[in-house]
Amino acid sequence: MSQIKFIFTGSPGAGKSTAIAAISEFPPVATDVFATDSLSGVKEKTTVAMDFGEITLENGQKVRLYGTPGQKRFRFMWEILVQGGLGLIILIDNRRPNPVADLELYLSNFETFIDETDAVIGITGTDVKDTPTIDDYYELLNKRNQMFPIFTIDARQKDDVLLLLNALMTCLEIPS
Amino acid sequence: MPHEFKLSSQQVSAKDLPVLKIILSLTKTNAVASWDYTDNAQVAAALMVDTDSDEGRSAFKKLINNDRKQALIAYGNPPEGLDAVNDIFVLPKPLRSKNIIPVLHQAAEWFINIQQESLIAKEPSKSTEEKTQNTLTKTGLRTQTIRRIINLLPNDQNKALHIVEKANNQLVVIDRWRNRYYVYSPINADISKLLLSDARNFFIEELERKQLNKEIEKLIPHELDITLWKAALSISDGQLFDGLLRTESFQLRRWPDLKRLGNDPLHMKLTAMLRRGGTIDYLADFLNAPIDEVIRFTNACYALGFLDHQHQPIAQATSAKKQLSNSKRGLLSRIRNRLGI
Repeated sequence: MSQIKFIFTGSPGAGKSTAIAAISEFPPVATDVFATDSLSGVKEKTTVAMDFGEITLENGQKVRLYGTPGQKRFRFMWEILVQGGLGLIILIDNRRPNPVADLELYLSNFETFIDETDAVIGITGTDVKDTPTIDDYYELLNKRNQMFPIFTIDARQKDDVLLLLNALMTCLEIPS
Repeated sequence: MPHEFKLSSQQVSAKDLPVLKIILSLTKTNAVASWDYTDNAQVAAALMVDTDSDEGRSAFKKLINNDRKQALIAYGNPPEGLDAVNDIFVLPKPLRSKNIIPVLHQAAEWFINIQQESLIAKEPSKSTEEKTQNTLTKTGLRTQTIRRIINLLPNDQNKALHIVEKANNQLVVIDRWRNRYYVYSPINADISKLLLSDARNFFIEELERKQLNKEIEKLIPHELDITLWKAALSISDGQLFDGLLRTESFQLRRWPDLKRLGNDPLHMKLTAMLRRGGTIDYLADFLNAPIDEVIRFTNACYALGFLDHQHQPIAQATSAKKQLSNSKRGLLSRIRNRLGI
C-alpha cells in the first residue's frame, strides 16, 4: 500500500523542519548536518536527506510528513520524496536575498508534482523583513498563470501550519 | 473592472460632439461604468439625440416607438409629452460633466436591466414569479438603492479618498495603496459604520499622492483591510456591490489572507472555488451554501480588490466534483478530524 504523505519544501532556513515538528506526533526524525555556504549565518544545522514526522489517523492509517532538504545540492532527493505525495507545502524565507526567485525555483522544480496535486505557500521571516510583500509573490504567480494560497506564517505556530494544511486540503477537494 | 458601455448620438452638433467624447473619456477611471463613443448605434448601450431641432425631435420619437435595446437620452428639451416616459433620460444643455455622469449611470442601469430581463426571459423552466424575483436581484446596479461609502472604494487600488461630513467635520482619509486609513479624531477610529453609510451624506474627494502625504502627516495610521472585509461581510441585504452582477462569472486574483481576516471554512472553500471561477449561483449550488453568504463573501473580496470579472468563463463542469475519488475525499476528511481543522 502506498504511503499517505505531505511534502514540505522550500528555501533553506524557511522552517520546514520546524513546521513538521509543530504538527508531528513525535519529534521529527531529522538528518541534519552543520550548514555550509551562506546558510551558516542563519542557522547552525541544515537538513541533508529529509525530515520525517507522522500523524496517526483514527483508523490507524499513518500520514507522513516529509521535509525535503532545501539546499540545491540535495535536489536529487526531491523527486524521490514526492512520489505518492498528496500535496506540496512550500515555505519561503523572506529574509533571504531573493525570496521571490526562491519561490519560482521551487514552483519550477516541483512543477509536475504540483500539476498532479496542488500546493500552498507559507512565507516566513516577515517579522524580520517585510519585503518582498505578499503582492510581490502573487505577481510571480500571475506571471506563471498559477493561483495558490499564500500566507505569512510562523512555522513554530501549530495553528499557522494547520492553516497551510487546511488550505491545501481544501484545494485538493475543490476542482481547479 | 468597470462595466464598459458605448454611447452613440444623433443630431448632436459638431461643437458638442468633441466635448461629449472628452467627458466620456473621463469615465475611464470610474469604478463602476466606463463609457466610449461609437458611431455604430447598433452596438451602443445608449443613444443621445439633440432634441432641440425638428429633425432631432422627429428622430427621437421614432426611436421611442421602435423595439430598441438602447437607453435613450434626450439632449436639450425633450419632445412634448415624452419627459414623463420612464424609459427616456433627459440631459439639459449645455453639456457639462456634472450633468451627464448621473444620466450615464441611469442609462447604464437601464441597459443592464434590459439585458438581464432578456436573459431571464430565455430561461423557460422558471416561473414568472421567479423571473421577476431574479430581475430584481440579479441586477447589481439598479437594486443598489443606497450607495455606501464602501461601494466607492473598490477597484482602484491607487485611490485615496478624503471623507468629510456635510457638517464640515473631517473624518477620515482612506489610502487603498498603503492599505491604511487615518482618522482626525480617535473617537472615529472605528470606521465600520462610516463605511456602510450612505455616501450622499458626505463630501468625498479623491486625493493626489502629494495631497495625501501632506494630509496624513500628523495622523495615526490604522490597517484598512480587516475593517473593510468585516464591513463588507456585515451587509446582509443580499445585494452585490455596484459593478458586480449575479449572472457574471468571477475569479480571484489572490487569496484573501484568511489568517488575518478570519478563518471561516466556507470562505476557504469559496476561495478555492474562485481560483477556477464561477457565478454566484454556481458557487452556491456546488458548495450547497446559502446565496447570501456567497454574495457577502464576493462583496468582501471585491471590496479588498481581489476579485476579477471573468470575461471568458470556464465551462463549469458538473462532473468536476467527482475528480477527487471518494476514498481520497474520505482520507482528507479523516486527516481533518485528526488535526481538528
